Amino acid sequence: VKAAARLVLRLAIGLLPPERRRWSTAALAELAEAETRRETLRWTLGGLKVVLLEGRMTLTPSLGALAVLACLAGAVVVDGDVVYVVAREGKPSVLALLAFLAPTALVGAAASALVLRRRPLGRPAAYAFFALVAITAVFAVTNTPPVATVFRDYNRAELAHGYRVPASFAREGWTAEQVLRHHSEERRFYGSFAALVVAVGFAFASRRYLPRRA
Amino acid sequence: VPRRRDSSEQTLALLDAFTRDPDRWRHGYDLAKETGLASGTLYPILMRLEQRGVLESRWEPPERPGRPPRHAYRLTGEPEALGVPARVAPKPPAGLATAEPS
Repeated sequence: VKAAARLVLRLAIGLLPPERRRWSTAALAELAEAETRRETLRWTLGGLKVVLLEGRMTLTPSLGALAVLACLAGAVVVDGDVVYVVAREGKPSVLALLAFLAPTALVGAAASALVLRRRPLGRPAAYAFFALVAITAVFAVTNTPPVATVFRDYNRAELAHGYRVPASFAREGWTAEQVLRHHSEERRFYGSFAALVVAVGFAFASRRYLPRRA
Repeated sequence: VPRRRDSSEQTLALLDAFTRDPDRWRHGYDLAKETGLASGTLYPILMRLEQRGVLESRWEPPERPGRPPRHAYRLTGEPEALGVPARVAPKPPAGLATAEPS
């Protein structure tokens, strides 16, 4: 328990800029003195509070960067099946989509890494990420290729493999095609909205709280 | 009259612990044990008291191999001179007569 607690606290302290780690490090050092599991847990929770207090607003860009990384991972988990199904069918649209999304994902990951390491370059990178997300969102919301092509191929593949309409939709008389189109729209709209919210928050946090280039 | 932030019960308990042996360097864990304060309450108070010049701090080398250096704290001067409430001023050792102010 103590090793895990130390790791959690150390990771949290790692989010702070080096000049703001003194008190959190002091709390971490005292964790070694805790004698019981209960004491260890209590001390760790208190230590996390010290991290928040010592970090205050300087933690904001790091949290924004973590949100971007979570968003990128979430996109892979949520929409990975679309890419997988279309790739399995051997459709070239999937390559066009990956080429289209790659710059956004790479810039997002790079911006997050820069911001987590408190590099001033993280600020323009966060802006670039926001711009790329905005462009991607326009393509997704207006259902423009390559986004539209991939979803078209995905829906066709699902229909060809005997897609079964969920009972709740079947009761209301939805056809398989309608359900697939509805799900595609949901993915495009909600995905775009979530990505935009995270990108705006990240850009704002980086602009407001990240040190400027010397 | 605005209430002094240093006069919270927790702060008084902490100052009380310091004034029992004002010259001794104290560690966070020992202070938490002595006062019953959680680390999330203790450290913000230590931070504030150090910022106000009531406490000084230093890093001490590990007492045992494999342990990290520890942060230690001590009062910077006489409690009364630092504006510490009289309630936590050190008590004279038992058995010693104290002169009452006339």
